[in-house]
Amino acid sequence: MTKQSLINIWLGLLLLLGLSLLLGSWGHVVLATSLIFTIALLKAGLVVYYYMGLKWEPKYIALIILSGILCLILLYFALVPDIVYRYGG
Amino acid sequence: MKSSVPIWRLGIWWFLGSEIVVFGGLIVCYLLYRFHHPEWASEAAHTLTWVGAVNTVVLLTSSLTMILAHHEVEHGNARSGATYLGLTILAGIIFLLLKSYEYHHEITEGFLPSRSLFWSFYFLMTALHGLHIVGGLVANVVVWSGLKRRFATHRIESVGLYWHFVDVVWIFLFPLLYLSASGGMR
Amino acid sequence: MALRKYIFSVDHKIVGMQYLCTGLVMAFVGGYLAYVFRHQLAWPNEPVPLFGMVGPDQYNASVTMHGTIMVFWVAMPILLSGFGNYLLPLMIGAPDMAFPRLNMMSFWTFFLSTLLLMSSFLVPGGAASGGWTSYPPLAASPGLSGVEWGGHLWILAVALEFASMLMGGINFLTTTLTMRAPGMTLFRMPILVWMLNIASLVFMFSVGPLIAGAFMLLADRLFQTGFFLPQSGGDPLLFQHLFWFFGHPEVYVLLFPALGIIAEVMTVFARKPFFGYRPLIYASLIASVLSFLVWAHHQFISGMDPRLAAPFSITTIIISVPFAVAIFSYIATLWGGSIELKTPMIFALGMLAEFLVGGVTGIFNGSAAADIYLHDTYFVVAHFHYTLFPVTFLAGFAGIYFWYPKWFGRLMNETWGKIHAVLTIISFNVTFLPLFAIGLVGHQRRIFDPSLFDYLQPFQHLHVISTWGFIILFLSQIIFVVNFIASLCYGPIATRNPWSAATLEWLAPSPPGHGNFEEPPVVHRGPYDYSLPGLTGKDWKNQTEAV
Ligand SMILES: [Cu+2]
Repeated sequence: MTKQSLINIWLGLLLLLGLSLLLGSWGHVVLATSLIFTIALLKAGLVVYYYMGLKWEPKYIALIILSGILCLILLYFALVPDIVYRYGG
Repeated sequence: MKSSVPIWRLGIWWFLGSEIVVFGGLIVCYLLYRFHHPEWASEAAHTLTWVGAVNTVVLLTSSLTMILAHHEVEHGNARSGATYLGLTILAGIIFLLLKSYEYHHEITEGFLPSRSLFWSFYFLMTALHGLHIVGGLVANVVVWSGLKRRFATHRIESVGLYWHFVDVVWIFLFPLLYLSASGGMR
Repeated sequence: MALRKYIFSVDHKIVGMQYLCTGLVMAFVGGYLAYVFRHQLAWPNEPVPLFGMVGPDQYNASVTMHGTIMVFWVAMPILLSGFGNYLLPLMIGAPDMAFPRLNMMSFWTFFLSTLLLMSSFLVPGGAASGGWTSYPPLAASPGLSGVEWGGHLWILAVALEFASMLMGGINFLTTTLTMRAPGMTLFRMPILVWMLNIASLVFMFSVGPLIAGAFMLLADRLFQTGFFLPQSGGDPLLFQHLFWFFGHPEVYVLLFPALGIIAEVMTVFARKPFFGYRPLIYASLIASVLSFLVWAHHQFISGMDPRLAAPFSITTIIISVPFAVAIFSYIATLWGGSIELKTPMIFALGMLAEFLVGGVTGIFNGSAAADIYLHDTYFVVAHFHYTLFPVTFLAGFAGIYFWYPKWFGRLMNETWGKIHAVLTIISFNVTFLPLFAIGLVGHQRRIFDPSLFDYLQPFQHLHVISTWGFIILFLSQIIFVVNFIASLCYGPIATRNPWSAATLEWLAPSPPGHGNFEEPPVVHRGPYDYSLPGLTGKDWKNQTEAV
């Protein structure tokens, strides 16, 4: 990657941050929140893909990360009935 | 099938894999509680969103200088690589200073970890992240001081991977604790 | 010099030995604690010889610390770190681990955690006594359990131990992926190597949320937060989920290396290739994925959403399928083999048989309907001791007797080894079979004094039998210790390959020097080429011999 494209990614990251700050004051909370987290995912994706170089790693490196995230998703959804809705509580 | 990833980088990736589940576990707990307690929005309104935003800029920029340092060292310019790495270290220190200003502000206002679950999470998550920043700073300084003596692309890439990861964690912590939690900025 | 060589060594063999020996020493601490509370249960309120009177607090602390020590400071370091560190590089033909210094750091982190844990016996208030699962709210507020520093130290020690095991896991996985000898393809690796890696993976992805939970629990204790306290809006159930999200996979983190050890032992002493090598690996991989989907079977009566009970019952019963595949592979490996009942083989056979009992009784606990009655009774205690004892000790002893000649260049005494094996297996059953019965009549766990309950009186003799069984079990280990130490000096000198085994570690000198092999091995065949026809003088070929 050239120096310029690394800087461009950084500019993109700042732009996305600005966008999520604007969304923070938007009245439509549900939509704003989901957009804010989409942007966070996008930002994290840019950093991981280009800065951490996942783009150039073999596929099983992505698998390490995905397995971790998969475990977390599993944990989250299994716990929703108990912790969010507090069955019987 | 031989791996094409160098040993040290593979080691770092495994390490980050195990870190993801630690931070991720904490975030999962936070989200579960957050959806159960809609009233956290009023608590979260007291976080200093602008300081958090500035800190996000600081960390994003430090990621840029980190990758530029790696870029320079890879192309044989140890001197400018050291400069960029120095800038990264500086950014890390600025982040910690701003964070301690925030802590100071919150504690004097009475927002202690024991005040409510939101503040418990806020302090635990940011403190754990802050400790990772401190660890990253130490590693960066070690690599920085060795950089002048000999080229070590893999050392700077190792600390770089870790530093970017800490940045990624913050990318999620910022909206979780500052933006969406407050349901609107002040 | 000696300090560099034996204490702060980066050599994987020394690190492995350090783990193994620490684990064995801790096994005696854990065993002594078991002796204290088993004596109290058999003869309530009588002074325990070599201890004194047991109070309820001491009883709670000894039960808690027994569980903690046996799982985290005995089973983990012996099976995963001890055998793993010593054998993994040797078995794949590598000179050392990928990160030798990280390896040393891993052991010293573990050692520090051991010291922290042991120091909790000395602090005011005594050691942690909230159960080895450390459930809040009891464990989350010092005011409730009456234990302040012991509880803090427990959490810190466990978190540090996890960190050290994570370092070890990173090392195992990286070493296996990058440092295999030429020709050592993934499906030519010995089963133990596969199992160590699967165990490391399972550990790595299950332990994270519990580490997070440990921080939260510590914050609850130290900073008056309320992550797990209902009065602050927290939820005690969350900790149970985090604990068992790790806790169930943890059982397989221990089981997989044990299965690997007995696979190595059984192929050698049955002189047969492993039956269904690939199916076993695939079954283990499937089981490791499924192990993340069963955890709530530990919580059927915890007050969790009953709608979760059915799915978790079903996944629990499904997970017995890959393990059935595994058990059948082992039995088929034995089938028609020329079985030689050497000490390691007796232990390996014992492990397979006893674990089967543990596994089958697990199906009762895994069914929500049955578990509502069985939960928190001695039935559960008997069940998990029938899984973890064979896994830790029977497989552990099988491995120790098997690789001892490789480690120290001498063989252990075979006669005393057999006596040790038979005594251990019999007395283990005497200890834990009665507990199934006690549990089925409704005897709850963690009761300090069973004589306070009239309905338990007719069954008190079962407690007495169990305790006598345990005392014999504990004393039998003296045979092992004496054999282990005496054989260091007086055991018959071992050749490089005393058991005629085919895997790479038997190619190296006994004990292997620094760097392991005189010349880097090149692998040409699978790990279990036994009973080959047409050979003279021997019936096997080492992995390095040309096809
Ligand atoms: Cu389980």
